[in-house]
Amino acid sequence: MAFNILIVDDSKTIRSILMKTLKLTKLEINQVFEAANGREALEYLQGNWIDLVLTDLNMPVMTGVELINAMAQDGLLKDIPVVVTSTDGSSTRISELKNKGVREYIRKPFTPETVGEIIDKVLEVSHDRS
Amino acid sequence: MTDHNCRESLKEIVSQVFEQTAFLFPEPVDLADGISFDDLELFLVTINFTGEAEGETSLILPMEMCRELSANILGEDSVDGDDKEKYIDAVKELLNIITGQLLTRLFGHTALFNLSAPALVELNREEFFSTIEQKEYCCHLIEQYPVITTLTLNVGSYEHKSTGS
Repeated sequence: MAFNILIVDDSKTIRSILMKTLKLTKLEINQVFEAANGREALEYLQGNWIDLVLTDLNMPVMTGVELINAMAQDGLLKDIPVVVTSTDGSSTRISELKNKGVREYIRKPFTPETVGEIIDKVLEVSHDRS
Repeated sequence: MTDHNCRESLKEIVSQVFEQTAFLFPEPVDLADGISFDDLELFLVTINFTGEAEGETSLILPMEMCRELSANILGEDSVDGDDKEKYIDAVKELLNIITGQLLTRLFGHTALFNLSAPALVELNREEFFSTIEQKEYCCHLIEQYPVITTLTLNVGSYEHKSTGS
């Protein structure tokens, strides 16, 4: 099964790094979409089948938390797994996000290995990594 | 929290983040050792933070370093071209990461902070010295280019909760 993934980050640099990281994983990817904020992300989510959302928190126009809240209130979007990628290391924040249904939290800076392992875990994909 | 703690944490975090994100290895240096900023096009990127404490972090570096940083972060061989927006975006993200790591180091894992979007200012020589005056800062040489990182904690905006690391 090939997956559609949505990357949400206001930094083009981070979006590029995540794109490259996804290509390094063994994950079968159909399409990767990019959004610069939560509002753009919602537009992609409403018009495309998305299997996983990787989102930053601190973004202009619509933050990651606002995006997560909007997805939670939408019957069609609420079950899409969300992984947060952020510089914020507060356990209080992580715990709040997990309570909102966020599946995993990746703190920046991250390694391709960490991102790959977490995405595999969230999408319940197993590879022979030998 | 002492000034020494802040300065040492700043120095360590800057080295760590440059190494991890850009494979660049900063060498701590003293500004008093005659580091030259002449003929360099300098940029200042700042982030304000509120929450457990209030203040500002900033990164001052020459355009040449921005270019190098961007290429390394993105894993690109070439540092040619003049895509200023791309270089600056990489620097802004780097400061974002430094700020996140630094605040956790200084205030612990439970502290909550809100960070502003990074802002960019082009600096002239006079502005450069007034910018670092009365601030905790550290200076590194990275690939022969000077890079300065500053931290300002607004007086009275925080309790003494240092993790002491």
